[in-house]
Amino acid sequence: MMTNDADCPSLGRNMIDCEAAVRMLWDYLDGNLSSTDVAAVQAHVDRCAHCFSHADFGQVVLDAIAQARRVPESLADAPMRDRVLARLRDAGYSGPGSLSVPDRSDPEPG
Amino acid sequence: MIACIAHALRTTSTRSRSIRIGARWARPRRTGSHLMRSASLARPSQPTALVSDGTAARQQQFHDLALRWLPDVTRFAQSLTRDATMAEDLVQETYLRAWKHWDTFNVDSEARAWLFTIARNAWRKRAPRDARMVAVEEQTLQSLADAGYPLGAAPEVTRALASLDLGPAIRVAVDALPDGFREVVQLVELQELPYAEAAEVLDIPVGTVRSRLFRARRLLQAALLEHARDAGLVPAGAEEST
Repeated sequence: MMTNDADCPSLGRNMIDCEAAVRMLWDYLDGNLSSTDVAAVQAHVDRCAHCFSHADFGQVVLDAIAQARRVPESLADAPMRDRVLARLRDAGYSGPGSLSVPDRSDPEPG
Repeated sequence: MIACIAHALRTTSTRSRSIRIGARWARPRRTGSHLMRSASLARPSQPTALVSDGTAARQQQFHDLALRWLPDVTRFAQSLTRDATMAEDLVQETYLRAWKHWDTFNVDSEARAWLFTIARNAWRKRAPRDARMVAVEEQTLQSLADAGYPLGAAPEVTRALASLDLGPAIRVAVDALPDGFREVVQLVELQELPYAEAAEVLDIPVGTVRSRLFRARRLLQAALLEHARDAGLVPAGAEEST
């Protein structure tokens, strides 16, 4: 990894270096770090243009993935659901046939 | 030192975007859903008695707990097979197996992860691979996953990409990922399973899920840069930094 530790102003007392910061970036962007580590990475990224570019571009791909979750699906359309239900009925399932697409923000019933 | 300070100041002053650190952390949908699933996982694991075979209640239970995940199972099957016809076959097989073994399902657990596990096992049975090939692949995946930290990019490249709807490009890039990475991205990123549940479905350690996810994100970053180049959004010579 290319770093600029030698010149970076963020290497003061109690500060983490570029390698440590970059290695924690995904967890940082995911919000999976302790408050101490968040503060350390935040302080580093705020002052280090090199690591800022990694965090910034990291956030772009995470936002893009979030956009991908919202891409409309052509899968599991009605004819396909009917075919799955038909196979299940052949295997003895005779329950409800209507399938509503679940809202993932809803808790699973039961 | 002076050069770095000057660079940092210059970059700070011209930053038109800020990293929304914490925004993602606080994002209710993601964080909330993980907490919700964690709570679900934390429930007692004692199997709940299912109603006897053939009753209307059993049918209703299968409908409510298993069939509701048909779109998610379909997406996962599509990700495994990368073929619409094979995906549908796999979905049918998954639900037939689930129905057949419904009496063994612990209704206090997550039906979606259980269905994913059935789908993946069925797919692996269908497409048995040479054991030596799998071993090599695992080794390769691990060595790739070791370098999973985020790529950096020039500010103008990041700005250009951030202005686009990259959802479709990411879908294409995910489909092009190697199997081991694609499965993890599909489960953790697109289906939003917690690491622990994805690890169960894929039968790999949680740490491996994490390292593969991070490496996969890096591969997706590289794909986005390629996308930007193809679209003429990246000035000649603007390369990512490692």
